[in-house]
Amino acid sequence: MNAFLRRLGSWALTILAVHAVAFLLVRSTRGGPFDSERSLSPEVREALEAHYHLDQSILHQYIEALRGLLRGNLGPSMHYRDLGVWEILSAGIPVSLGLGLGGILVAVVLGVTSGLGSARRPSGKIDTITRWTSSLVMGIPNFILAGLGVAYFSFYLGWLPSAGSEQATHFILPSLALGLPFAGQLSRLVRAEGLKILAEDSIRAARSRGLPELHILRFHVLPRTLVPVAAFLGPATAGMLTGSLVIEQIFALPGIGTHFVQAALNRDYTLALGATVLYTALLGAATWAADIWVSRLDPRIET
Amino acid sequence: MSVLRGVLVTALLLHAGACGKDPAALRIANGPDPSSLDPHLASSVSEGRILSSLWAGLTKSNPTNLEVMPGLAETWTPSENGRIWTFKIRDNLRWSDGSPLTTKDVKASWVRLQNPKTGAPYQNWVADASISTSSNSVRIEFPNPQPQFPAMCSWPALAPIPPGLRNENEIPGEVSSGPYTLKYWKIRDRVRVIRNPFYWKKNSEAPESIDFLTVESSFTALNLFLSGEVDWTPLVPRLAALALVKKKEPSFSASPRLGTTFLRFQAPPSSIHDYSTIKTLSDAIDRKKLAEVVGPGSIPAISLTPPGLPGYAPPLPSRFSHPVKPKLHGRLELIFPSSDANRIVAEFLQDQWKRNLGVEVLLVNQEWKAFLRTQQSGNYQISLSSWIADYPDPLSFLEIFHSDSGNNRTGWENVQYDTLLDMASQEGNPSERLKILRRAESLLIRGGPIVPLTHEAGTDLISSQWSNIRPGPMGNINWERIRPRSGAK
Repeated sequence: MNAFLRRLGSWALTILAVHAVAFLLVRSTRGGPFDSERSLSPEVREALEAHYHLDQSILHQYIEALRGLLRGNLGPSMHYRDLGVWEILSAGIPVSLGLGLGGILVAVVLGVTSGLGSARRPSGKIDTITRWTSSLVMGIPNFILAGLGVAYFSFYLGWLPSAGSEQATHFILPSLALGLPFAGQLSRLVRAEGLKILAEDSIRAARSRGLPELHILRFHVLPRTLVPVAAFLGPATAGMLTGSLVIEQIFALPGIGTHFVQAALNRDYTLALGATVLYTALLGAATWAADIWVSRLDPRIET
Repeated sequence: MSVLRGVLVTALLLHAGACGKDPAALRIANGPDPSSLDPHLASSVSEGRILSSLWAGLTKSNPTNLEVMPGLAETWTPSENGRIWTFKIRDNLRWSDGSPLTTKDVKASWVRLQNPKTGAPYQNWVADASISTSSNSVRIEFPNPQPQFPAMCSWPALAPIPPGLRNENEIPGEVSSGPYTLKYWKIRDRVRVIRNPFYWKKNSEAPESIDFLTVESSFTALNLFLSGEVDWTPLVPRLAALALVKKKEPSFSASPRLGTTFLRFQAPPSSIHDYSTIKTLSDAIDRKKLAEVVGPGSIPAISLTPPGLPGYAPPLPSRFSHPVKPKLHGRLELIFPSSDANRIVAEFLQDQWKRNLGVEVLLVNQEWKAFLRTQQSGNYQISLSSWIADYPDPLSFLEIFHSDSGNNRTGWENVQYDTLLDMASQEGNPSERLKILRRAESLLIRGGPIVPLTHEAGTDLISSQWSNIRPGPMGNINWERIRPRSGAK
C-alpha cells in the first residue's frame, strides 16, 4: 500500500511539475492566440484578452490555471471558441487509445512470435528473414512505413482504406505503421532472451523427455521472455504516444495527437496545457501499468 | 497472457466505438477544424465553406461573376450616396427549427457583432453604424458612404444568427438560416450538415447531407480523393497538381481567386535606402517563371488587386527600370512563414536577386504566429505576405495600407494615399469611386512599400458525379445548386 501511495504521489508531482514548465514554455513563445493575418481592432483584442484573463499578471494566470487543474477544470479553448479544453480532448481519447493499443498489439504479437521463431533455429531461414525485416522496420520512420502501406494496401491491392476513422479497418494501417518499428525492437529482445533460455539445461532436459518443440516454446520459453517484453512496454508506450502525432495526421484520425502540436502552433494556451497534462498523465499511467505487469511476472522486481 | 488478452479486447472495443457512421451524400476533405461555427467568430477560407452552408446572408454572391444577388433580403436601396442602406427582408422567413426569422433578428445580430466583447474579427465593418428596423425592413446608417456594403452582406460574418445563439445557450449551427443545418460536429473528425427544410429557396435536389472532413495534410486529402472516399478536395499538393495538369485530368481544376501574394518592405528610410531600391528589386523578378513555380492557376501580379473585381481595372506599374545595383546597407533579409509553398517562393526570389542584381538575400523562416508578431513589430526588412478579398471590391485590398490600418505593418504613411482612400469613402458615384481607388493603387504600386508577386489560384479535385460544385473567385459556392450528375448517383 505504501509503495502504491508513493507511486501515486510521484505521478501527481510529475504532472504538477510538467504543468508548471509547460505553462512557462507556452507563455514565453512569441505570438499570441489572437494574432491573425487580419488584425483585430484594438477594442476587440482588449475585450478578448480580458475575457481569457490574459490582461492579468503571469503569476495570477498561473495560479488560476493550477487552481483549474486541481479542480479538474481545464478551462475554455482560446482557438476553438465554442468548446472547452476537456470537451476537445475527451473526444479524441478513445481514438488515440485505440490507435495506441493497436500499435502495442502489433508490436507484441509480431515481435514476440517472430522473436521466438527466430530464437528456435539461429541462422536458420526464419531467423535470417526476421533479422533482416526487423532491421528494416526499425530503420524506417513510421511516416514512411505509413506511406508505403497506403501505396501498397490501399492503391495497389485496394484492400484497406487510405485514411479516415469510420470502420475498424481504418485502424489497421495506422496500427501497423505505428507498431512495426517497435515489433522490430521487441523481436530482437525476445530472440536474445529466447536464445539464452533455450540454451539452459532445463530446456535440454525437456527436449530429452520428448516434449514437442511448440509445447516447450509455449510453456517454458514464452512466459520467461515476457519479463523483458513487459519492461519494454513502458518506454514503447511513450514512443507510440509521440509517434502517433504524425500517424494521426497522415491517416486523418481524430485523436489527441494533432491537438498537442496544433494547440502550440495556434498559441491556444489552455488547450496546449491541457494536452500536455493529459499526455503526462497517460504516460505515467502506462509506465505504471507496465511496471505492475513486470512485478507480477517476476515477483523479485518491486514497483 | 491475461494482460495481452485485456489489451486485445480493449482495442477491439475502442475500434468498435469508432465505427458505424453512415457516409454523407457529399464528402469534402475540407482542411483544419473550424475554430467556430459561429459566423461572427470564424474567418478562414476553410471555415467559410462550412459557414456558407449553414448561414444565409441578406445577399448572395454569384460564384461566377461575383454579382450581388438577393438572399434573405429581396431588395436593397441606398440613400445619401450609399451612406444608408435599407434591406427589404423576405416574407415568412424561418430558422431551421421552423421559428420565424425577423428583422429584429437581423438587428440584434448586427448589434452583437458591434460589441467588442463578442470578439468578432469583422467588428469594424459595422462598428460605427446605427441600425433600425421596421416590420419588413432593416436600415443601417454609416458615417460615410459604404457602396460595397451589399456585397459584404453575402459574407457569413454579417449573417443574422438565431436568438438561442445570441444568448449563448445553443450550439452554433444547430438552428441555422442557410441551405443546411448542423447535424453534429465531432472535433478533428468532421462537421456533418443536413438539408434545412425551412431554407427560403427550394433545395430538395441538393445533397441530403454533407460531411466536411477535418483533413490537414494535402497528401491525405489526395489519397482520400483517389480512393473514392471523398468527392471534393480543395487541398491538392503542388507536385500532384503539376502532374494532374500534365495528365489533363478532368476532375482537376485550377482557377483564379481574389488573392495576391506580395512582399512587404519596411518603409524607407530604414535598412532599405529608398523606394527606387524596391523598384529595382521588383523589376528583377521574372514573375512569369515565379507563377509557374508556384503552381497551376497562379498568374503573375503587377498590382495588389487581382483581376476580376467587378468594374475595376488595376493600374499598370511604371516602366521597367534598368537593372542597377541597388543601394543597400549590407545584406538583405527576407522573412517568410514556415511552409513548403512559401519556401519555394522565397528561394526563387533569393535566386533571382542573386542572379540578376548580385544581391545576397538571407532567408529566415518563422513559425506562423511568431512571423505575424515580427511583421506587426516592424522588425524586418522584407516579408512575404498574402491577402485574400473579404468582399469583391478593391478597397478590401487597398485599405490595408492606410496609415491607420493595423494590417499596414510597413510603417508606410502617405498622406496622399490616405486622402485618396478617404475621398473614395466619401464618393457616392460608384464609377468615380473606383477611379479614385485606382489612383490610390497606382500610388501604392509605383512608390509604396510593396512588390506584388502572383495572384492566387484555387486548386480543386472534384468527382465527376457532382455538378455546380466548382467554387468561384471568392471560394464561394451556391450549396443549394449542387446536383448529382444524371446517371451518376
